[in-house]
Amino acid sequence: MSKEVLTISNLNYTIENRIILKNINLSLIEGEFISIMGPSGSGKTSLLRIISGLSKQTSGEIQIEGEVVASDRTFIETEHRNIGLVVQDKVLFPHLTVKDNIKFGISKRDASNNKAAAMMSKFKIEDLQDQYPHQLSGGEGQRVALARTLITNPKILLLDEPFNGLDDKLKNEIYPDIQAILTENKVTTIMVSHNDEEIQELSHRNFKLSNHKLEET
Amino acid sequence: MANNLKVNSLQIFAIAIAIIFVIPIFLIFSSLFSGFNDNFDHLYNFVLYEYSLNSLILVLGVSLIVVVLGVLSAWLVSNYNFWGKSIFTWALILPLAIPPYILAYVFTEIFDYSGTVNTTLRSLNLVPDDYAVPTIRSLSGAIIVFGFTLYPYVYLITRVALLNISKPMLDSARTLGLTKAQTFFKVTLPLIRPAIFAGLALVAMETLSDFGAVQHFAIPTFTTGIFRTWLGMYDLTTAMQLASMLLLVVFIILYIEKWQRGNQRYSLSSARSEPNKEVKLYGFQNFMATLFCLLPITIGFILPVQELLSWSLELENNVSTKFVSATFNTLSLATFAGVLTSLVALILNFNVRISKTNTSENINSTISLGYAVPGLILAIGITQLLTYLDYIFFNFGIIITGSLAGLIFAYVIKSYALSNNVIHSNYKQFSLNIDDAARTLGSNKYNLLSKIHIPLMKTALLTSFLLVVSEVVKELPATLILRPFNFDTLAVNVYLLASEERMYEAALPALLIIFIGLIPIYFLSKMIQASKNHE
Repeated sequence: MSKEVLTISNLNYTIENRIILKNINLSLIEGEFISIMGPSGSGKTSLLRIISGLSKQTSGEIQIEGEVVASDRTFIETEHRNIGLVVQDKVLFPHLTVKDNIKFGISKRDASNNKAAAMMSKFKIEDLQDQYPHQLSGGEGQRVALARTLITNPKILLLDEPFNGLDDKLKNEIYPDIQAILTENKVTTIMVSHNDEEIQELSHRNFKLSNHKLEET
Repeated sequence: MANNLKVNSLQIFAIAIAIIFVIPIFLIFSSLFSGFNDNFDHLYNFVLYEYSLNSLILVLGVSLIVVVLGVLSAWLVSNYNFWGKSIFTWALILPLAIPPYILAYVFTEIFDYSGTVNTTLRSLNLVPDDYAVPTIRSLSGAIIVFGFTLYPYVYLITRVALLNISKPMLDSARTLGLTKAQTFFKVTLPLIRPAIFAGLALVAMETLSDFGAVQHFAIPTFTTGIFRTWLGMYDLTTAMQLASMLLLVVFIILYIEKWQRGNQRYSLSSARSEPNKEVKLYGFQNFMATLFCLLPITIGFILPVQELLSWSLELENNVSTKFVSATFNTLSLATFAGVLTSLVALILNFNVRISKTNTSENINSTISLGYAVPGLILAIGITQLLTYLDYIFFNFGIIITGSLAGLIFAYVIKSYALSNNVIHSNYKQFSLNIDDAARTLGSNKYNLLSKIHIPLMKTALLTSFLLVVSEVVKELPATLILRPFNFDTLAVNVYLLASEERMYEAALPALLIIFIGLIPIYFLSKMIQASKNHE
């Protein structure tokens, strides 16, 4: 039986008396890839932020590998949850080179140079290692962001429209690489997306978030 | 594991800083509840009206000059191309480096019977030998001094507002049938009005806060009155009561400015989508525009600097031990205050960024109000606070009162807003997603600050440091009161020498103050240029 990695129970989220998420329940097993669709402002990004610990739910509980990370009484900070987050905006640290960006999340004890080299090789970005973020194209930047997140071996990967702005050719190049890496590392992934093709290509199960509720489609 | 009830140490630090900053102001206002004595009655019956009237005339006169100089020069360099325009764009800020008290000392000397103006007029046979131009040591002289040193506040803010006005919006006004003049009065002027008010509020507060210039010109105002009541009549309570009144006026100005700024959101929301086409001026118009921009720079900067340079060169051995020690004291204090203020501003803005609460924002805004409190009033409040602390901890000793602690405290309060503005606006330039990325990659708050924010804000931190340094170097009234015995700074040195009419000896320290004040101005003009190029 596969290990349950993420369990969300009766999760509610309101901002200034405005309901954003209502009674969300979700359970994901190791290595599973799910997609969440929904109209703008439906709370998709809020859900990812709550899972990562960047925002706090109003009520409900989140467990990661059986450990409660967020409830009425408990709140584990983001940096201790071992969750990766990749968003569509530019989030590379502008003052660090590609290599230093990728090494940012791992400690020196992890033989970071070898690990970074291996990850750059997987994402085919070895030639960019000494460049700074402003010198990269959109696609290159997004690969670096993914490599930087995956090198930390996250238990859960959250992708918030990570391929927006990339052309189809590039996406078709990236999808197999990502799939291979996620499968190899058994990473449980939640992707927010509007793109049907992307969802068909990568996702095992699909969900829709509307009227504050999450439903499997 | 962190519990949600865990105490946020940054938030506690922010609240503690806010309380410490507010105590001196609270102590000043508390004097209003300790009863009014005979000295207050005397002041109320005989001089309070004069203080109020002089202060009012001063503020109104200075406001008129700074609006004319600041708004028109900003309008000219933003919309027209004329001879020297590229130089005027940054040179119009130069008088900011000259504190009003230094211009007052220089003007007194220049317009003296044997000063440059009178000797030149006589040598050119333009006036009789026994003639002298009317003395500058008057209310109108003070208005000129403040006007020509403070107009850059209005110039700077108005120029930024003009740069932000949407060009298509002005074009729409023209296509809807408005003439150029109508477009200016019906569209441009209402849009830049909040900026003009913001500049005027700063000028009014600076004018009301000044002590050095009005003292030198012997004009009875609130600040000279407070100083005389405290150190002449030795009546601290009455001095604090006078200070409360002045502080109330300052807060009213702040309120009006804030109310005006409320409208600024609509005026600055639309970024200019294309660069404004500058109109080339020819002939007489070109000459007049050049002359208009040259006038404030000449009076407010070139003339005083040239006079100070010639005086300092005329004097032999003007590098005295006193000058060296005053320079060392000033630079040490300014460096310490610069580092401390920038550090506090960084930590409090970091707290605002990561806590994302209105409370943190409000704490930061409250602390920033310190810039509006006149140095003299701040000095009184801090002295009172330090006296209490000495009483509590050292049984009436003068251990804390006699140290540099009060002085540094005053500098940090006075210049916090400068640091805060620079760091706050820099923080807005990089996305919150960067913070989220660092947190999900395992960074705790302190790693986020040290590994991401500080490296990204190196320039902002340097600018903040330099702005505080220049503010501290120029500061006079608080320094005069809070400095330990036999501890002189450059500003105090200039003040003491000028009050003994030894202006030639005061020239070198005055020049050094101006030189240090020019450094942040250089950065400021670069930043404005960069924002213009960015557009």
